[in-house]
Parts: sequence; C-alpha cells; structure tokens
Amino acid sequence: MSSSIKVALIGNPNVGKSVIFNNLTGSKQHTGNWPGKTVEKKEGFFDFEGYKFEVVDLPGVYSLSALSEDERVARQYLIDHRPDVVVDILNASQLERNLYLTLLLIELQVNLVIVLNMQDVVESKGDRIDAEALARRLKTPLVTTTATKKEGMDDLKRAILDAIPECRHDREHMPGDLNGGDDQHYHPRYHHHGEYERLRPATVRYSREIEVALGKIVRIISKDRELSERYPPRWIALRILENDPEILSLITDEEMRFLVSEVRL
Amino acid sequence: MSDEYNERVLALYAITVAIAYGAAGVLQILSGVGLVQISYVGSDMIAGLMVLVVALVFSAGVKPLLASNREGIAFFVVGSVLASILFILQVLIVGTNLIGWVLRFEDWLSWSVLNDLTPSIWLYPIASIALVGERTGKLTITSLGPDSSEVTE
Amino acid sequence: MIEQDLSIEDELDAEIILADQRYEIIGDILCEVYQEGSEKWTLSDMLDKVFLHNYLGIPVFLVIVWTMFHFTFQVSLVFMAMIEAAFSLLGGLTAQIPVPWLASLLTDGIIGGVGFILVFVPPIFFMYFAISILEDSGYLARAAFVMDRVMVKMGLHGRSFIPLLIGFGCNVPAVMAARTVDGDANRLTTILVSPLMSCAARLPVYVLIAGVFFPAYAGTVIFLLYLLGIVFAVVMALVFKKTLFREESAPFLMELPMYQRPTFHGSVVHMWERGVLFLKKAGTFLMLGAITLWFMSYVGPGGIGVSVEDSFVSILGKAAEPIFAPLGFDWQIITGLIFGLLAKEFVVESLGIIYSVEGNLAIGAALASSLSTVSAFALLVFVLLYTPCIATVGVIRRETGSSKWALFSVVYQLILAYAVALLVITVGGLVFV
Repeated sequence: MSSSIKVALIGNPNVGKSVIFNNLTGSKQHTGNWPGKTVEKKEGFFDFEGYKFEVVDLPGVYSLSALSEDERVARQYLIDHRPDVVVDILNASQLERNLYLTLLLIELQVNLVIVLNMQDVVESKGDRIDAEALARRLKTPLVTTTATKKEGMDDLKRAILDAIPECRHDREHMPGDLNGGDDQHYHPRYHHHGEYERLRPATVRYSREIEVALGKIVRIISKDRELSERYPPRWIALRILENDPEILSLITDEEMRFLVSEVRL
Repeated sequence: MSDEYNERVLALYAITVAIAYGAAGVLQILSGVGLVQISYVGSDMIAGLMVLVVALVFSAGVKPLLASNREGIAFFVVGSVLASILFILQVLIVGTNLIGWVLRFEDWLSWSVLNDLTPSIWLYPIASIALVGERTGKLTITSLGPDSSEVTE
Repeated sequence: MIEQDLSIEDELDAEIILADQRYEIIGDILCEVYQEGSEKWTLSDMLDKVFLHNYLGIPVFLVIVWTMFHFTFQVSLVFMAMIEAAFSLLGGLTAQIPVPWLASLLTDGIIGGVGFILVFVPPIFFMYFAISILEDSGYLARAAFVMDRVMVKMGLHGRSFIPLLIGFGCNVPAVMAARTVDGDANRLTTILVSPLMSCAARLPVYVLIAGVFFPAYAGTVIFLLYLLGIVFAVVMALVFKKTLFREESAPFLMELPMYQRPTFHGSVVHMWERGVLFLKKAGTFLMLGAITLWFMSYVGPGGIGVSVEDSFVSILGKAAEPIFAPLGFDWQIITGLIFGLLAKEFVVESLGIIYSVEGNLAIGAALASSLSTVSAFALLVFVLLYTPCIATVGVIRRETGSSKWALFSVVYQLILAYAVALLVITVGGLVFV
C-alpha cells in the first residue's frame, strides 16, 4: 500500500481552478467567483494508474507576498507541507499577469506542473501560444486544457504522475509516519545542498546586481543549517531582499540578521 | 470590416428603439405616479425607470455609430440583452399569474393577461433584432462569446 | 520585534525592482511564445463595454438587481398561495384534534409557525436561483467592479464590495469572506458593515409586510430595501473609516472572469444546495423555536391555556412596548423582533404563532389593522438594519477574535435601526399627515 501523493492546485483567481479541481476529483461543487469560497481548504482524491492522489485546492492568488489572508494560506501550505506536485493553473488568455505567480513558484522551487487553461478563449481570440516553447523556457512540464469542456484532464493526470519524484513512486507508507510525509521538506533528493543549479535556476535570473546580493545572503544564511535545509536558500534570500517580516523572524541569530540586513541593492 | 452604410442604418435603428423605449418608459412612470391612465403600460414607476435605462443604453450607441465607430455596436447589442432580461422577467410573471388564474386562487380571480402586457413585452420584438443580428453573425463585430440571452436573469 | 534596518523606501525599492524584473522576464518569455491574434470583439467584450461603462454601469446594475427582486417576488406569489392553501387545509384537520393543547400546538405552533415560514420557501428559493445565475454568468464580479469604483471614489476599500454582495444570500459567509480584504482596519470595517446587507432570511418579513401594505409595488419596495441596505453599508463604512480607523487602502487589482452562459441545471443545483440549508433550519432550529414560542404564548403566570394577552410572550412584548411606542409597533410585533435577534425567520414565525393562538387566521388583515403604512415601512427598515441573527454575531466574534467587536456590532445596529425607523416615522408623519 503506497501513501497517497499530495497535489496542490494553485493559480490566480478566475482561471478555472475550481473547475479543474472538480474535474479531477469528481466531487460536485459549485464554481463561481467568490473569493471567500476558496479560502476554505478544499480537498479531494482521485486514482490514476494505481496511484492515489490527494488534491488540495489553494486559494486563488496573484502573488505569495503574505499580504492577504489568501496569500498567507497558500504560501504557508506550500512551505510547510511541500506537496509532491504543485499544479499552477494559468488563464492562457491572461498569460502576462498569470506568469508572475509562476515565476514565484519556480523561485520557491516547488515541483511544478503548469496548466494553460481556457485554451478555447485563446483560440476564439485568434491568439497563438507556443506551449512547447513555453515549457522549454520555464523548464517545467506543461499541459493545455479547456476545463469547462473537460479537455486535457487525462493529460494533466499523466503529467502529474510523471512529475512525481521517483522516490515517491515506490515509497511504502511507513507505520507511524505521523505527519504524512511532510518531513520531506523540499525534496532533498533533488536539491542537494550547495548545488549550483539550486542557487541559480536558469529560468528566473535577475540583473547582476541582484544576483550578487542574493549570493551574499545565501552565503550568510548557509550557516544556519536548519533554515537553509528547510527552505530553498535562494528563495529565502529573495524574501530577505524584499524585507519579508515573516521570513526575517525565522532567523534566530541576531548577528546573522544584522548581516543579511546589511546587504542592499 | 463594416462599411459606413451599415453603421448609419444601425444608428438610425438604435435611435428608433431608444425613442420607443424612452417614450414607453416615461408613460409607464407617469402611469405609476397616477398622472395618466392608459392600458398596456403597467403602473410600476420603478419598472418604467428600468425601461428608460434600456433606452439610455441604446441611445449611447448612436453617437459612435454615426461616427462610424464600431464600438457603438456594443451598446446596440447590450441594450438588446437588457431588453431580453426584462422581457424574460415579464413573460415569467405572465406565466405564473396564469397558473394562479387557472387554479382559481382568490388573488387571481380578477387577473387578466392584458394587465401584464407591459412595454417590456410588446416592445421587445424591435429590441431583439440587435441580439439576433449579433447571434447570427450579421453584425460586424464578430462574436465567439457565450450565448447572451440567458446571461443574466 | 524584528529590527527593520531597511527603511520603508528601501523595502519598497527592492520589491519594486524585483517585480519589474520579473515582468521583464515575463515579457521576454511572451515574445518567444505568444502571438496576438487579430482584434476581435467577443460578446464578453461588448457586455463589458456597457456593463462596466463609466455612467451606464450603475443604471445597468440597478436594472439587473431590480429584475432579480421583481422576479423573486412576483414569480413566487402563486407558489406561496399554493403552500398557504395546503397548510390551511392541514390546519383545518389538526384543529379537529380533541385534545385542546395538542390541537393548539399543532395548529398554532407548528403549522401557524413553521408552516407559515415555509410559505416563504418559494421567494427564498427563487432568490437563490437568481443569485446563482448572476454568479455563474460572471455578472456579480462586474457588479463588484462597478460598485468598487464608486466606493474607491468615496475613499473606501474596493474589495469590500464582494463580501457585501455575498451578504445578499447570508451574512455569515459575508463576514467570513471579509478575510480577502487586506489591511486589518479595512477588514474590520467590512465585517462590521456586512450584516447591514439584506440576507435571504429577512425576505419573508419583507414579502409579508410589503405584500400587505404595498401590494402593487411589493417587488419594488423589496428592491428599495436591498438598495437601502447597500447605502447604509457604504455610509457606515465611511463613518467607521472617518472615526474608528484610519488606514490607507492599497490599490486593488480585480480580474474579471469570462461571461458564461449559466446552465439551468447548475443554477437549480446551486439553489437547492442553499435552499436545503434553509429547510433543515426550518425542520430543526425554527421548529424548536416554534414550540418554545407556542408554549410561551399558551402558558402564562396564570396557568396553562390562558388568553394570549396574559401569556409570557405578551409579558415579554409589553415590557418592551414603551421603547417601541414612538415607532408604533404593538407587542406582537415587538415579540417577533425580540425573537428575531436569534434568527430573522422568527419575526414572521412568531407573528404567525401569536396571531394564530389569538384565533386570528388572517394575518394580513391583523397586521393591517395594527400598523399604519408609515409604521409598516419603519418596521421594514428596522428589520433590515438591526442585528441579523445570533449566528452572525458569533461569526463576527470569531473573525475579529474579540467579544468587544461582536457586542459593538450588535449595539450599533440596534441604535442605527431604531434611529432610522424613527426618522421614517418622523418624515412619514410630515408627508402623510
């Protein structure tokens, strides 16, 4: 008996996330535009190719800055529970705005699958999106769907399955595994400490000035083993640069906090 | 895509519909206040105001259409959508009142379909044309959106 | 707690620079993968052109909301008459029961109370149906957008309007939806004003009173009450903003969903989901309340089966009578309003029970003889504005994390309701001498 695979759905508001959630889990739910609606945690299950998938529908957000309750909920879940696969749903007809969240997710180094939803709208407008090129550019698996017509749902399930880290494929559910695998924070198997790629994922590279600052902060916080093992160091560095109070409060060492605050652009 | 002639005709048509709805709306309001006594316009003042809004939307399209601005068609079509909403509402009211009349409930004994024939119903044929035109692709801003007639209740 | 060595400007700088660069990266990506099609207007574009229009937006909003309430009231009339007929038939049977207290409990308490509230199932269901059509079609988001513009101009937080719109259905989720409003002061303001939005539970009172006193314009009166709810929510939000809290609002980004053709099936399902909750409430909470109310009107200090005038409900209502004397409410209505603090359905339910125990079966006529038209309108306004129900107070306490705010919301709403009702009486007295 293998443990179920955790999948989180995330995306901007009004991208059809609820529809995809319903299509995947088959639960009958209303879809609408109430922001209040997805604040509550919606969970569901589906089976595919003998695996059991546990899907969590995160609130629709534009960013992960922890400004609003929604953003806090989504970010907290991604950081604390490290789902096996994060499905980022994009409104393909609003790519520019939607990609912002995608970049933030890439920075957070979650195990990402991208969904270009509302393909029908794009086609009706006569726009063209080179999905393959986008997937190559972002270095993530990508699926195109039209959720309202239930198109592309099997592709999505397959993409989620393919994206599962190999260690989860045959991992037995250990008796006494109390926190349901939450301990696997940020999949150390894939992100070996100090690995070059982890510091600089090629997809989101900033100007030299910022990269230098990030590098400095990463070096400083690497002394805090707990911090840099729990969270992607580059992501921590970005948040520190943005002066995120929640992340700053994670640094317990006074001197270290002073040092990182010295790093400016 | 659209030629000038087309837009001028549309502008003329929009004016006609706007005047018709405007006049009916004013009559309905006057009748609601009790200043005039006419049949077939209803006597709900606020309902008259709603009919006036439809006229307003149609008339908003006239100016851009005369200037050969395609955007005017949007007002023309959406005015028609609003007229459809009011039409559907009134038809539903007639339908349920009919049920009450057939069942011979006390409050419906004196009901007559003529009382419920408000401008939202009998003016609708002229207003619906824009929507029909849009649906069948005869109007020049091509549409691939969802069906409109049931967009709102 | 945390030392913040970076000044606020620096912090903003870093955030803005990073955001700029992200958008630059996105721009590069789009260049590679995205090709814009020829400009075509979808019906969605056309609708937005008008629905979001600077001047036409609000009138169109009014047309649609008016349609919704007119539909709710007019279309349900005949179905209400059917249910009423069924219950009066049933009541005729239970009244034959030879045990007097049981006959009274069933006829006056259960059928007079719960049965009477069930008469209002059609308007409640139709309103949920209309709301779900508005919601599914994507119009509700536009309504929020249009109102948002007005609210921002008045210095209010724009996102507040979405929770307020939810309040049309029920105030409890509206208070919870205020979580999406950022900034503590903005959120608190939204929580405090959302109970002013007229929820579905208040609808029976409106339908009953407006049906008796303004039969020709009942739909319009109900529509005006809902508008009044919005107006007071906005006014009170402004008052709170200017007095209790001062906080700048962040600019608010709202994405509008595509318009979609609402399906009949989907709307019915949605209506059913919400409506069933009301039926469950009627079967449990309202049933229990009906039995309690009946007991209190059947029993008094003088014993069992006393006349209503000597029963506990009458004592309760009469105790509060001096307070409501200026508004012209009699003790039956006052008792209804007191029980209405638990849930608004009780206003109508207790009226049903009390009049029924009194032997007064024609509730409409009984109301017409006890209230003046101006008092009737004052009653409608009072019901609109005073504390909606105990569940809303509970959720306010939970969401604000403070009993103080919950208490504040109750007190301010009672004062507001009383003051506005008094204003209606005064102005009405001047106009209709």
